[in-house]
Amino acid sequence: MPTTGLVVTIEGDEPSIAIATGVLGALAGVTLGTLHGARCPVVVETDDLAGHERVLQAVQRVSGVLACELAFADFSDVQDPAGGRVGPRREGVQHGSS
Amino acid sequence: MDRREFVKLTAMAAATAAAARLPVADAAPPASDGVRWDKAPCRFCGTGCHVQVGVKGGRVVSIAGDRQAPVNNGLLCVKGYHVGLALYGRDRLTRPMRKQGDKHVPISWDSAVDLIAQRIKKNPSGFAMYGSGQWTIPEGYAAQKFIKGGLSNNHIDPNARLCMASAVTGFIGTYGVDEPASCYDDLDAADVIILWGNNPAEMHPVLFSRFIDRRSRGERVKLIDLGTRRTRTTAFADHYLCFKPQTDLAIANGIAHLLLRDGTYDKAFVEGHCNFRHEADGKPHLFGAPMTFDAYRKALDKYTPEYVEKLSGVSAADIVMLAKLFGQRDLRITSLWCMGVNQHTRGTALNRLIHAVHLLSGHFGKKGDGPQSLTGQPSACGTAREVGTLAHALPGGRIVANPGHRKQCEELWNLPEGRINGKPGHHTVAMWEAFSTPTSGGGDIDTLWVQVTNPAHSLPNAGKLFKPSRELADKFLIVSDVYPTETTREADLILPSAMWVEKNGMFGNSERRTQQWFKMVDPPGEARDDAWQTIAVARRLYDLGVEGMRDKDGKFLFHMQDEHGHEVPVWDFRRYYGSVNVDEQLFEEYRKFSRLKHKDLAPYAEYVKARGLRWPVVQRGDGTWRETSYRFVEGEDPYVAKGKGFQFYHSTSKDDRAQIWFNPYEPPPEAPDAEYPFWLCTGRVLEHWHTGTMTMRVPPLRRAMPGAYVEMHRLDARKLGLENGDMAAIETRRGRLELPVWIGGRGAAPEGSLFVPFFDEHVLINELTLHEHCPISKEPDYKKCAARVMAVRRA
Ligand code: SF4
Repeated sequence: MPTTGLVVTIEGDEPSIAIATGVLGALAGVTLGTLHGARCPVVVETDDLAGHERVLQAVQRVSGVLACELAFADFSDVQDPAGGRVGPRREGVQHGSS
Repeated sequence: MDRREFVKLTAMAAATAAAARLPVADAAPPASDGVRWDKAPCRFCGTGCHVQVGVKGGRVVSIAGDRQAPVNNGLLCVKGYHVGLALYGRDRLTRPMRKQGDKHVPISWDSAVDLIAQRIKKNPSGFAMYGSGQWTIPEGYAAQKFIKGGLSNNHIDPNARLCMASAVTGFIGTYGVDEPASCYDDLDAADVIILWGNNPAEMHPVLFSRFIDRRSRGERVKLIDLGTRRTRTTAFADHYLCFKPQTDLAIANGIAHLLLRDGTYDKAFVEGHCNFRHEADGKPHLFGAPMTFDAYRKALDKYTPEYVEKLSGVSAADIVMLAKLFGQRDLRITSLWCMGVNQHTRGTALNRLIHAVHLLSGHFGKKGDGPQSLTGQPSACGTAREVGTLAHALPGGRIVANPGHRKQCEELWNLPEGRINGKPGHHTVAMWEAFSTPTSGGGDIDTLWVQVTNPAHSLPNAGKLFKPSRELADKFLIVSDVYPTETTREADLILPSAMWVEKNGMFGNSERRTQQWFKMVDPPGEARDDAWQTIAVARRLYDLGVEGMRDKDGKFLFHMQDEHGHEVPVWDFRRYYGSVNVDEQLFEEYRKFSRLKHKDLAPYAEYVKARGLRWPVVQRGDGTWRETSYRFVEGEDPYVAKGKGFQFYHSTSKDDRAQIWFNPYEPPPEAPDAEYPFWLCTGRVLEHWHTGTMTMRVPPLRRAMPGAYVEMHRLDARKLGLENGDMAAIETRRGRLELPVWIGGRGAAPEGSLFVPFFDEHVLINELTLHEHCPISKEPDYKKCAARVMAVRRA
């Protein structure tokens, strides 16, 4: 269950920031902290890395979000951090140990 | 409280502390929960953020931005966020392997070390090392000493040649000494930030976040983006000035022209602290010749706003706007640049001209007011520039061509007189040309050892510089790396390396900040430190009787002693992390070289305590150590004499003055024509670190940016019958590739231009790029060549 602490910077005046934080807070897996000016602490918790990615992308797509930076990430109980395949190398090429 | 709740609270505490910019003392350290935390710089870009690395059960399990680090104040970008996962790709290299036929088969470390040593012994002058700005400082120092102090051939160069060599020559030509005088603090104080072909929103995101943060707090900071394509950064710019490739030289001259014409240059600063310089006979030269102020003014005469508009496509009004900004004394202006300026066939000239505009206008030496070049790699400054792992250089700003410098190095290394060769070795392009040319045809490099880089992917015009060597039976390629790459695929011998916190290390970032970390986890399988690999081969050569591996007292070049004065056989990997800290011993030896050019380094122990220190680091009367924010400025730089105000104490004119250069606009070596009508530019993307060796193993980064593409203008695409996602063939005079088209993506190329990122190993765009380079820095131009595009019709 990956867990991330983010700092999300939001543009605009107070009402627009309030709208953006409202949208952010409604995203599944997202918990908002106390707003500091235009910066909002956000914790994202999901079941797996793929779900985490989807939430992080959703956070960045929220209208008014200027920047999204990481303050903390925990992957300690992610079973297979390299999960998913390693892409194919160039066609017709053999590589690696025998 | 259960573990999940505990981790969540820790995450919220860290995010809140960073969001609220809490003083460090109030910022709770990451909670423990059986996780052991220690500091390290991020493995990726030259920004040099510090992370806190959480280790449990022998694995990196958590990452936090380091709140004590002034570079990033507890924040990280998407790459830094995933830096821990980069260790755990499934296909790490874990055993040495030798090529047999079409396959690589495992061999022992002992055999691998012996194989390398035997090849070097047979032809020491035909051996070369190709390293990296990702080498740690001790790794680069060990390789440097081995080649220049041991083998006397000077054939060592880093991939940093491909990214910041023009910045080096620009600094040396202007100030007489390399590396920025200013630092990142500028970003917190500048009124105007000018980006010269630079995209920090993707390439140096945490630095760019300082600007976003200021804006979000209502501060007025003007951002001017001078570029050849729109990028993510452009979205934040007040002015986007799109220029025709190569004409940035004319724009800089246009600003200088107006400062003189309008009398808005800083007369007092110029008269007090500057000289004028040019390449008198029109031939490229590192130091050039003096010119008078009148001659300088005359040389700039033709760079009127109208002439510059004609050349560059930037309107005369915008050139005037830039000159007016520079003409205002009360504004603080920071210029930032990176590859767009450096990877340029006149890269040295353009670096000089940016410094010239700042010096001429007196925008220098105050917080927020100065030129700051950025590096792409985490230790391009620390290892390539300061240790001097370039073919012409010696540690601490010395050069091999200077007999006095060679003598100093021989003394510090306790070598017999004359051991260091006075002839510069091959720079990157020449080295790979020599390796790819038959020995019988004059290709004098037959064994090449690559560490911490991926040249088959990153060299320009790879079809000429890299591939031919693979068809030549007597050319032997050794590659030390952490994952399979395009280069290991072609290697005759692969050595598995330890990565990042699997070893001790030190980096030096773009603002002269030297950083240190300790090994935290074991590398996988038989992977070992690159510095150990170098030392082990040196020792085998010593045992084989190669004289160069001994100092003048007969001691091994990498002789190390424990605290009782007993020699420790660090070439035996079981003893490498034992009674001595090899990094510390190498660093303590290296730091003796740092004083000549006033780049003083503190003892290793100081870096253990700090989140990096910016040199020169000098000791105060009370025994504590003090770093330097701004060089050449009285009150900041300890080497500036009282009453001087500014003192360029390494001035090439020996009068404490900086040089304001004139360099003319010169056309590029290849430009679009009827046959190849497009400009082709290459570069990086936010998610991937250079050739993607590490970041393509991190699933979220890979999914976010899975493959290369060609960015093109909608109208060009329409003319060619291409739509988003269609396959297009890109062709230059050097090769052809097929890529999906991306229109209206994160970047936007202007009409007649293409952009292709270089991270994707399936699409080696550098088989198409030019290897023409700056005649002074020898840095190739990856940013512009002529190309054509065709729609690929599938049957
Ligand atoms: S900005 Fe660079 S150094 Fe900082 S976290 Fe991102 S990749 Fe790492």
